[in-house]
Amino acid sequence: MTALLETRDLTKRYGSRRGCQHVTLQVRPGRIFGLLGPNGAGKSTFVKMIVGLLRPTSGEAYIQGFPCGSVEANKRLGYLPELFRYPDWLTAAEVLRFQAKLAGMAPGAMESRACEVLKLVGLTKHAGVRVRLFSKGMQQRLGIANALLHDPELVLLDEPSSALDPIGRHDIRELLKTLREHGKTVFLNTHLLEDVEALCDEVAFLHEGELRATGPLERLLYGSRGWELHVGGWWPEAAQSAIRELGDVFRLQVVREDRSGTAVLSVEEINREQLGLLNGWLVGQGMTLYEAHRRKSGLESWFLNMMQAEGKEGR
Amino acid sequence: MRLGELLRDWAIWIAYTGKELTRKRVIVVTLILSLCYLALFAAAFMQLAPRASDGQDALGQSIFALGIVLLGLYSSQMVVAFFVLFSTMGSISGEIESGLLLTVLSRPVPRWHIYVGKWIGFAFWSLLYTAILFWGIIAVVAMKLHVPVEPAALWRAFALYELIPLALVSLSLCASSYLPMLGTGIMTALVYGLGSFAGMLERFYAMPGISQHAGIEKFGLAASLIMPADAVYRRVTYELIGFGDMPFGEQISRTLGPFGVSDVPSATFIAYTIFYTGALLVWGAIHFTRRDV
Repeated sequence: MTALLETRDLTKRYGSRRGCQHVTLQVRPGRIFGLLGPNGAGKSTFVKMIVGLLRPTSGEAYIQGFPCGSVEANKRLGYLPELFRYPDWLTAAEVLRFQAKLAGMAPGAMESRACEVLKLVGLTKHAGVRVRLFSKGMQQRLGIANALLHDPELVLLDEPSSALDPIGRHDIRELLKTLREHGKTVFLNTHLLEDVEALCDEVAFLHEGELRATGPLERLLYGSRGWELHVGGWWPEAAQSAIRELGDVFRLQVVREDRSGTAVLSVEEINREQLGLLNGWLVGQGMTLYEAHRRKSGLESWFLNMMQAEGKEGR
Repeated sequence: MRLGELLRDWAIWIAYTGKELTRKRVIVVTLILSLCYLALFAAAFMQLAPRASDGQDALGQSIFALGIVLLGLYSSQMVVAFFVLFSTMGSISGEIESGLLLTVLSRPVPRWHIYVGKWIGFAFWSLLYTAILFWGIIAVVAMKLHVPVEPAALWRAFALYELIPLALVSLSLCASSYLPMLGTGIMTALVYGLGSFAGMLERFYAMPGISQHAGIEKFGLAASLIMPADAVYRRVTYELIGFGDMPFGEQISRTLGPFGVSDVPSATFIAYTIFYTGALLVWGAIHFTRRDV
């Protein structure tokens, strides 16, 4: 599938300070793509290069084959900046009308589309209210409405939920899911890992301006290839016996033992055949395998693991 | 891009700037204060006019009428300058700092187009305001006395007078594409002040009885190249006094003292001012297009 957004060796330096270095990634259409990284990782720099606000020092970036920052690329892009302000002397409807005119929308389409996006973000009742009277959350919703105004293929949202209350965040999540259902591609730059976990199909991890990991979220979260086994008929010495007899084959660990004769085991780096072998051994010892599932690390622990690994490398 | 689209987009900016100036109450406050200014000017003129007319011949009355017009236009161009500088100083850097421009710049519009659109928006309203003041001053004097200026000369003077806000809008927007809002305000005010000061100094040294000073002339020329507003104003006075058409032009000018005509800028200098305005517009647009936001 052709990438909707593609960057090759995208680099930005601010004098001697690095912003982003050799970032190469692809975002496929119809996906929600999350960009993760600690503060100062270069996420905003990367996003601004995609929008055309910053000029790359080197490298290339394209939206549907058009160079980022060009008029053609921006026709396909809707953008919600992290820190932004709308002219507070205008009403919400006037802001959208002005932005729609800049986007080159026809007057008829402009009005109906403005009503549509205001409805989508729950601001219909406030269309005639001046932005000056909007709360931060309402301004954020207006920002999202503005990003969706010209029905772009790629919606780039920089911290979309940051100023929203839990209900607002839930609404935004639902909205983003709807966008994906409608075939839109969403590029999400956020600190809220639960948003990423709940929404994103693919993620990229930036650290110190470099891309350290990228891929489908599932692959990254299940990346350890570890399994968690729930076993019945467990007896106290079973752990030593298992490690003695299977220690050469499996990296096995007892996570939890209960007096009721059940235990939770953790096994690293095994495939399905080895899992069958282990099951055979357990049955041979009079035990029963109740449940076996691939161990999934939470995004937060994955993120922390990545950071710790980076820290060790750094040292 | 077709001309129709270009004009349509620039009309958007004129409307946008108009709405901004109206909703921020800039227009209301400016109009009220300008009316006060014109009213005070009219009151002072009405006080002076009868005394000046008494026992004066036609030439004396013409000199008086022209003197009042020139005085009014001189102070009005300062009012215009402050209007332009204060309303435009944050138009680029200030809007980037506050995040106002971020969503605008992500729209499928070339950056230079946005810059020129903003320039046109501010230029339109500044020209309108300048026209109100120019014709307001003329109207106040014409109510009581005959202003001895040919219509063609009056229109020439008006056209030149309108060059002043255009040059200032270009300077301020260009500075705003480089400097933060406060820096832009300070820089443009200083440049405008330098031009006015140098112009006044030149006029003073050109008065009868005061010896010429070559250094002052050079300083004046350099200052007027950096900020041509005052020199353009001198050309306005020249057009109004009408050396070519009026038999006593020089006498009128001498009588007006520092507000008379001295060292009249040539047509080439006016061409330079138009070039200055255009060059700053292009310079600012190029820099804005290339800069990181």
